[in-house]
Amino acid sequence: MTDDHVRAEIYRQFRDNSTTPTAESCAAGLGLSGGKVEEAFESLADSHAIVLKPGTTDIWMAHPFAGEPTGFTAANGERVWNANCGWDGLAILALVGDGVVTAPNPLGGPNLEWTVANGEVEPDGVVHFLVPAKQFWDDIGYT
Amino acid sequence: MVGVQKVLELGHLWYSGRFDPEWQRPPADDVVSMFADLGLVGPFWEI
Repeated sequence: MTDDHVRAEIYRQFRDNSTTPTAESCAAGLGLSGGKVEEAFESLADSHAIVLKPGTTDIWMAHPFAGEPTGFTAANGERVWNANCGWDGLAILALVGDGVVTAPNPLGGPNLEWTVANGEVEPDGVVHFLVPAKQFWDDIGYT
Repeated sequence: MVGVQKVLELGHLWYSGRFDPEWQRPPADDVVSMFADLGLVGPFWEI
């Protein structure tokens, strides 16, 4: 069992349960000890496969999934995920299927919504990428 | 600024492998090629 199996289990649990995986839930899913999985979480964070909340082994981000509310969501049927940004909201639907992405309106007012149906996004719009690709990990919380 | 349809496609290409334990982060040249396939070119999209 490698760190990559733990990473895959994190992603599977995010996708299937629409809740934030924990070391305990991943340990149960993989039949490992919680300590082993916490070590894997830290290793995965070191390699930028996931992001942990500072000083903890709690998952902050496993892109495109967010471990806590951000204002950006992606919904597919009854399941709702927190996303890290507008790109990640659409990316979640690219992974789980059609649904609705909700994002804060940078101009104020009601939230923005995009619907994905049969892989087509409506209405048209743009996502503003704030940080060049080369610098995505310089400050991942900002990115 | 990137159009939402293209962002959806980028999301699939960027993230879909991560459920697979065998997935490995692609080398930088492959990432730049993936961006280019979507029309995302120029200094902003260099790795």
